[in-house]
Amino acid sequence: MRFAMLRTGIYGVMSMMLLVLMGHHISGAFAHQWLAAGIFLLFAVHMGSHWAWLQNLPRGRYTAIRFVKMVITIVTAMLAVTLLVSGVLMSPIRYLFAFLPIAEQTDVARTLHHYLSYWFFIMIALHIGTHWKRLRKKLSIDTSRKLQPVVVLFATLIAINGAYAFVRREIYRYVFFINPYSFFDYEEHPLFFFLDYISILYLFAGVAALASSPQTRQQLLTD
Amino acid sequence: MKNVFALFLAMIIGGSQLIAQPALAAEKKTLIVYFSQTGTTEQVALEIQRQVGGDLFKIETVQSYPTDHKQLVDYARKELDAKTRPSLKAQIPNLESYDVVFVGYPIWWYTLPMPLFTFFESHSFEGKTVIPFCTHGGSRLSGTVEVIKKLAPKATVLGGLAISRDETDEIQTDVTSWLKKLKY
Repeated sequence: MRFAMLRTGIYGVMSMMLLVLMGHHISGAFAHQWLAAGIFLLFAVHMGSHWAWLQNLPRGRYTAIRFVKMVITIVTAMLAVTLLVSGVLMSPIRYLFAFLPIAEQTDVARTLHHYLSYWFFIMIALHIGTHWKRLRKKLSIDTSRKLQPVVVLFATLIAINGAYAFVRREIYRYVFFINPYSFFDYEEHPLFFFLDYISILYLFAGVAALASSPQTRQQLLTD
Repeated sequence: MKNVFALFLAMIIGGSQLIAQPALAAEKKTLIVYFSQTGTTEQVALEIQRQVGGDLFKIETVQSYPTDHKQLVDYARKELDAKTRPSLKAQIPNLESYDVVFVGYPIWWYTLPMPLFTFFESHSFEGKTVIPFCTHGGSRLSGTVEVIKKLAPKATVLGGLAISRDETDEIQTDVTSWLKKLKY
């Protein structure tokens, strides 16, 4: 239990780091680069501590859910690596890799980094969502029946705000490779930025959690 | 005694004229400064001049930039990392005679092109009104108004105009509604 809490605490920290990384205009380039280095280190630890998962991949029966979860996890990991490489290739330390033929492709690196960062954000949300039940079980979170309507109401409101923010902030235009540059609103209070991005994270995680839980799906089908 | 009275009268009249003058918008002397590599920012500068009048000044660097877009982006990244201050071909000769200065530039790497830093650091905008405008690929002003406020601390910097490089056919209407908002 205590270990599970520590682990989940680290996941929480990583999620917060990710949110700050999405707000490049709030953190500034310098903090962005150090946060990125930090989160990548934690990613490495995360992958290392789930080595058994990787070893078990060829084993056992594949249900649709297991397959989808695996695809999400692998794509997320690949995106993380691509973001690290493209980020480094734009940063001042790219000169350390001057011997590589891709070293001076800052334009390509930037475009990749821009588009894929939004994909990564969504994939992380899906990754969290598909593991949500497991996390709850490990932490033994159980919402009492009385509180359930309140939780559902709040969850719905956050998800609606997430959908609205996804459209209003034109994130769909980044995800579908339409806008090659992000609009960072310097006049907006960072609080609104973070609230919206938390909502978007919540929306995608929620959808993934619902879709991957057999009970909820059955409920949806039978109702 | 008579002379002193006449002098006093002249001072009052003269003084009131001095106060009255800046209130007339038509008396404001306007300069439109711009830095343009592909011509989009120049288009906006010309449209602003067409609507408000004033003089034009093009910021040009001694060393020219690559014309190929990809090469230009990579080159601009190098300049940004090295905090280069590219030398400019010319200074504005009579900046002190202008009251309002529009400053136009493309957004490079989410900020001002480095020649704009050279420009602001080598001219004094004390007491002037600076009005930024930019052309961009999706980032809009990207915090450059705040950067300009820091580079020209003694100027009054007004809200900027951002024109997307993909919507150049709307330059005229965008400039019109922007100027109306600025009450210019």
